[in-house]
Amino acid sequence: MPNAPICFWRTSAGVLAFLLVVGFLAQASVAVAAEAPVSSQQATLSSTDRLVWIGPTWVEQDVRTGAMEAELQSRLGGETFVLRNLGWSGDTVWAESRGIFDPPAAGYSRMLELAKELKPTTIWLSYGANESWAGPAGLEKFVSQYKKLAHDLTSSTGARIVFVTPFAFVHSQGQYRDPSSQNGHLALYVEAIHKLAAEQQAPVMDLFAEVKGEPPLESMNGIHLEPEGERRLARRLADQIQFVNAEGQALKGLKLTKAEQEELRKAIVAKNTLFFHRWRPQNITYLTGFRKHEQGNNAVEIAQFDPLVDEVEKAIAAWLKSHQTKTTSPATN
Amino acid sequence: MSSACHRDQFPSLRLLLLAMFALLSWGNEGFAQRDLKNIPVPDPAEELKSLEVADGFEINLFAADPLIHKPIQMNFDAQGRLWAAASEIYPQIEPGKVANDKILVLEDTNADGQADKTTVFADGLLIPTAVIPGDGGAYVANSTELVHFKDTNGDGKADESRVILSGFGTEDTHHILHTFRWGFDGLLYMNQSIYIHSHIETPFGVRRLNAGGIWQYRPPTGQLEVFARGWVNTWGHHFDRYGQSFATDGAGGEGINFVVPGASYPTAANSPRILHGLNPGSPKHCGLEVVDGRHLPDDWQGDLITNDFRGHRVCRFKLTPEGTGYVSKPMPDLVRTNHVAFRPIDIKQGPDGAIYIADWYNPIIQHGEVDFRDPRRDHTHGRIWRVTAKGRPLVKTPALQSLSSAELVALLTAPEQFTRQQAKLVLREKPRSEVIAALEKHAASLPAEDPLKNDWLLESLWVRVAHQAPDFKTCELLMNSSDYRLRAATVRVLGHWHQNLNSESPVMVKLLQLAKDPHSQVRMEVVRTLSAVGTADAARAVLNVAAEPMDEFLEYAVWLSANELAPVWHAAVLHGKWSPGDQATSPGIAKSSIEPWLYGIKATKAVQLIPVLVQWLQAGKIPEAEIASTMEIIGTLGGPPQLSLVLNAAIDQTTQATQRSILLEALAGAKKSRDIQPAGNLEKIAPFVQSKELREQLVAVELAGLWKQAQLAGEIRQLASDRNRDVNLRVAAVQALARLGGTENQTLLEQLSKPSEKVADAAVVNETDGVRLAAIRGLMVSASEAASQASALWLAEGPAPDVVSELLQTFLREKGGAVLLAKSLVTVKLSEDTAKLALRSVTGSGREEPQLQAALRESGHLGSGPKVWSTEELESILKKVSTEGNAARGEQVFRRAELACMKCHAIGGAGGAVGPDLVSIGASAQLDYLLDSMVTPNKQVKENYNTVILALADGRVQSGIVTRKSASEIVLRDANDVEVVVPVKEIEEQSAGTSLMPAGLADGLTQTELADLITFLSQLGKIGPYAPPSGKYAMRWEVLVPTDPAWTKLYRTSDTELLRQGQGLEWKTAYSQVNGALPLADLPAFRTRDRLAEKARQVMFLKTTATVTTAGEVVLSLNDPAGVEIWIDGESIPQAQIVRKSLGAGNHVIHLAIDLQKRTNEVRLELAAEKGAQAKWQIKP
Repeated sequence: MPNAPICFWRTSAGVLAFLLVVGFLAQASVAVAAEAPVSSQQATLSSTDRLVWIGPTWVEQDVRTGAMEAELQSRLGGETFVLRNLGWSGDTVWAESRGIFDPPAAGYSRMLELAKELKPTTIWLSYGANESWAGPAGLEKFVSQYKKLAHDLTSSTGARIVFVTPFAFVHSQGQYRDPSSQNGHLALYVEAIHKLAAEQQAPVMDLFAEVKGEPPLESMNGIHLEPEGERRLARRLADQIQFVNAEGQALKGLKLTKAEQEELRKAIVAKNTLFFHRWRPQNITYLTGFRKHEQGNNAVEIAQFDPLVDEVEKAIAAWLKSHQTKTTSPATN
Repeated sequence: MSSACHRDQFPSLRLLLLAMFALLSWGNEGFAQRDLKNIPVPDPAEELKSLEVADGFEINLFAADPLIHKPIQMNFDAQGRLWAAASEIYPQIEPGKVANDKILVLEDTNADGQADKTTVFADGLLIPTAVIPGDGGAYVANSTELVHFKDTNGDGKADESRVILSGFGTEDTHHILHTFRWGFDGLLYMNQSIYIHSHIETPFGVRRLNAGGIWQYRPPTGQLEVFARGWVNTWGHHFDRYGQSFATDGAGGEGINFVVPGASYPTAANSPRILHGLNPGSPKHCGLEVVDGRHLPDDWQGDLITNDFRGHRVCRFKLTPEGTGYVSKPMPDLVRTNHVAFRPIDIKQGPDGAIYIADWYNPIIQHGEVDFRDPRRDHTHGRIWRVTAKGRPLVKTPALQSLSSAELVALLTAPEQFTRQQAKLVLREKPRSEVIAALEKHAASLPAEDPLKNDWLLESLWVRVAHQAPDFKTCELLMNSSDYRLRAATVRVLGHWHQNLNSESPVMVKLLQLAKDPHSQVRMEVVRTLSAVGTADAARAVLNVAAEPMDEFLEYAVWLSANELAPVWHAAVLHGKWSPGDQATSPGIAKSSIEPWLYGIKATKAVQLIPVLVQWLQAGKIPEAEIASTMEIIGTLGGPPQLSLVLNAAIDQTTQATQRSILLEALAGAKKSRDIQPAGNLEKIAPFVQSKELREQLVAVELAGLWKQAQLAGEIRQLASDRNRDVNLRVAAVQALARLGGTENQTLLEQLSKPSEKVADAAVVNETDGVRLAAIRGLMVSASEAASQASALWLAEGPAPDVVSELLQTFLREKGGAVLLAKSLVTVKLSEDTAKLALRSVTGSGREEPQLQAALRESGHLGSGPKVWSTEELESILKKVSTEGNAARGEQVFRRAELACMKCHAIGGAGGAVGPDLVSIGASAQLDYLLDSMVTPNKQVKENYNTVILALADGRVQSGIVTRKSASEIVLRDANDVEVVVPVKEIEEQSAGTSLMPAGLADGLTQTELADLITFLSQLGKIGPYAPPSGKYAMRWEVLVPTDPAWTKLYRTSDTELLRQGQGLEWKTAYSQVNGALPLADLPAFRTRDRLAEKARQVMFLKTTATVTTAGEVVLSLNDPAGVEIWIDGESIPQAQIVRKSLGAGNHVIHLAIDLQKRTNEVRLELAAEKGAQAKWQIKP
């Protein structure tokens, strides 16, 4: 069963077979060993977490690749957490990509509203790369707005904030312009994010710092990653997180075959795609925007994606559960 | 970026979702069983039968479903295969449905003109709206992303995909990224439409475009820039042989647009100025192809073809260069039909020289007006039609993809653009060194006398742009060419390479010199390229262009570059590095006179340069002749100390009266728009309040109010009360008193707000109505209740329609004004007509004012609100349309004054611009949609015609349709077709309004009349008497109103004098019918009321204006010369059916006097060029 594609569970026979296997596995599963208590400054992810991830293109791209989420989900020893990706291409701490027909400030408010609706326990913020094009002159404004964003999100949702730094621009293959000369500026922004995190006593996950002995991340155009670069970034990210169960005990990562990882990733992409239709539907001009008097009747369809998201999410959880025996030591892969 | 090289991501996702879909049930069965109307049989043979093709051409089916379905965009590759993006999901994915749209590749393997093979290159897509082959695969617009798909194993199917750019908006799925084109320069051009907001990360930084426009993308480096902004739906874009760009708009009405790089066109966001298309009043178009080659007849070379997908036509335009731009002339249609599902939306010339037309095949278009889930939407069919010229051989294009670089470079001047362009695209993907070597070798082998040598050199430059391999020697050579098109194109090439040049390089010197090129298109290109160069000297050369006469496109380019370069040249001026008359450091730049500076300061609204300008003025650096215009600029932009200078200059006794008025008006403008007034003593204005020059006196009175000169109140009160004074002066005085405030002034305003003279003729605006209105408006400031009561009393008198509208607007403009007026209306009774007119004004504001609407209905005894039509009534009307609807009668209903259709809607540009132009509405809209729009206008509002309501800081409320928007101001068009500028900083709140079309308009119509009206509208744009007329007729007329002053003049002077002087006359707009004829029946005429028989006349005076852009002989023809006298520019022309006249460039006024005793039949005036004459003109609708 663990090798069957996730989608087959949707058939009733599949569901039946699945239940049998899960029942079997549940009996066979062993209690997960307790580990040392978790530091308050380290990011944690637990099976009870609802994570909302906010940031620009590199966050949004995980909607369609699922690489980072797949890595994170596979580290919970067969348990799962809920992730809602609110990344938006080209975005900044001012929500510059989110205004649509309104000024960015309105998009900012909508983002806060949506984050609240999603009832997160933790929020990851991943800004800094786009803002860094403004150089040292833009740094102060960035920091004060980032602080405001973190504050606004905490006070409206009560969730823990975790800062995730941008990764360094790299000199990619091909004729793409080399943006790595911007890294000096980007470093200033990353440093400021560290300072801000310390001030807020929030964890920070650093993806910018060079990892000794590792080549630069594989990138298509110097600012966005190739699949291999993304996989490595995912590991770099996951390695900075303490994965725990509901009781706060550390969990071991699953040891999945390449094919299984791929299967998981695709299911996550399916879930993300459905959620994308839910929160960023096409034609919003007519559904909820200023021409809603024409097609607002069809806005009922938007909420119809919710049960579809849940279905896939449940399937993913069950699949992960069924792979619980394949654990490895914590935080390695 | 997201780098999804995941071979089978889409199939897997599909499986998962398919499985889910199987488990969930969706109750759409009911939908599908709805009764369908007017849906043709989707048989291609039936459709083919209905297609009418231009003489000398024939049409055949190249491909149809199941080989292809729902094609949206298509592009050929070098092998001659046709790539098409197809979507069944459009307009909106349904929950539980699978996004499985496709990229299809069609092949005609046996060259019989019919596709015989389709390959699904990519699937699993979500509404792909563009595809273009390139870089070993194809670029696809997939909603938010630009994806590159590749087939690495040669099975014809993509097995690798990579998201190249992401962050394109999807606010409207027919607006999303579309219209891919490889440029002549090897760059990828992509368009997006008006509602789209895109935010794209690139290695050059983040690029944003929050509106429509054309992107320019350079695949190897990742550089993305905005090439042009604006339009509603730029669904067509192509280049001519010399790289000039043209665009069409699927929802704009200006035909072919000549694209100036970097410019903004209608609807562009944050653009204070815009350029317009070449065919105002034209139907909307989708797709665009500049055609040429041996297969097409000689007179088709370089013509533009596009589709009117609403009108089911394939159209053709002929361009002729004129100044910087072109004149675009509509030619007879290439294809037309009344088949409602024929939707030509893309058009390309194929490898065989034939014209290929993508037919989206759908009885329903659009998805705003028609429900996403309307069962009449076709999701499965689609066709590609192929048009060939009869008896002309097809072109045999070589297999370009297998040719060597040496063979390809030899094809760069092939007669067909297909070959030239595809050869360049194949070269683009070959190794740079090999390509450059081939170019160099071929260049060396070309004999000097080869007539196409220079054309070849230009093409070689474009190949080098794609390879980023500059060749300045060739640039220099072509910049010295005698052909302006080569000079212009080469200058644009330098925009890509200027970083490799310094100010001493001969090419840069030449570039700067070309700012004085005799051809204005070259100057335009220089001006735009210099903006990219970005140096202070470049800016100086740009401004110098403004010293010589400029046409619309050139002036726009100079304005744009002057603004883009503003930081550079403003700094230079501020730091004393530039002043009038000095010499630039770079060679090649002419010495500057003062005009360019003045132009630049004005164009960039350079407030910070005003002190410098004043210094120049004081230092005597400004020549005498320019002092006045300098002062005017200072008045417009200066701060208090500089305005004092202007005031002093104005009151100087040696200043001429006209000049003084201009300066004082600039000061009034400074106070009104910027709230700035001169420093120091303002009492100096006092003497001019009694000036004998009216213009001067008017502005002095206005300034007294604006500057709060209370000591002048007594004098101004006298002016306001004096009935012998000019009415405009009295109005200005009343306004000044309102500004000054105080009890005495208010008492006078209250007096003036009451009827002081008996209203003689309610149909005509009384002369003193203006004063009374001004008094009421003045009272609104200090005593709004008194204003409201005075207005209610006036409304009860049954004033002229214009007064009703003005009064209502006075209250609708103020926060709380509507409620206030509603309260006062309780005490009065209104006539039914007044109440109706007032209600129309409320609708015209685009707002809901329930209290006022109820009060008006109550006091006018109108009953409760607009009629609600029952389903049975609507069905019965629709039935009548099909059984007894009469379009001719319907046109008469449309033209009825009381319905005021034409006040807001134009047909082919003739009529108001408040609502959408209806030129081809019949061809695009279903009957039920037309009827719905008539009886419930708010149900569906055409894109770009939604109103916004702006609450302003000073308490006023302004509403209308946004026509332009910039960072500093928003321009609204109100229900009276008047543009209103609102400064952004004054806007406190913005909200969405309703349709400007009054609800209940149709209430007074009988069912038969409504059916006739719908029949008429449904015929518009279809083949037949209501298609856009092929000739150029005078469509917009002004008719002289027989007012008292007009009668007086008619008696005292000759007709010629009457029309020549023209002052004090009132004209009323009238429009010709769709067929160009103007019926005279209901128009104002002078029908004698004189007892003296010898003076008895029955005459009507008409006026229209023709704009001549190229001088030459034109022919005016009348349908019937009987009883018509003609004047052109005031000169009487002997009576004849056909008049020949040589006209110079500019506006020409044509007057007609119609003797109604000799004729009463309609007048149709056509303008045509004398055969062989150069003349070009348009009659502005």
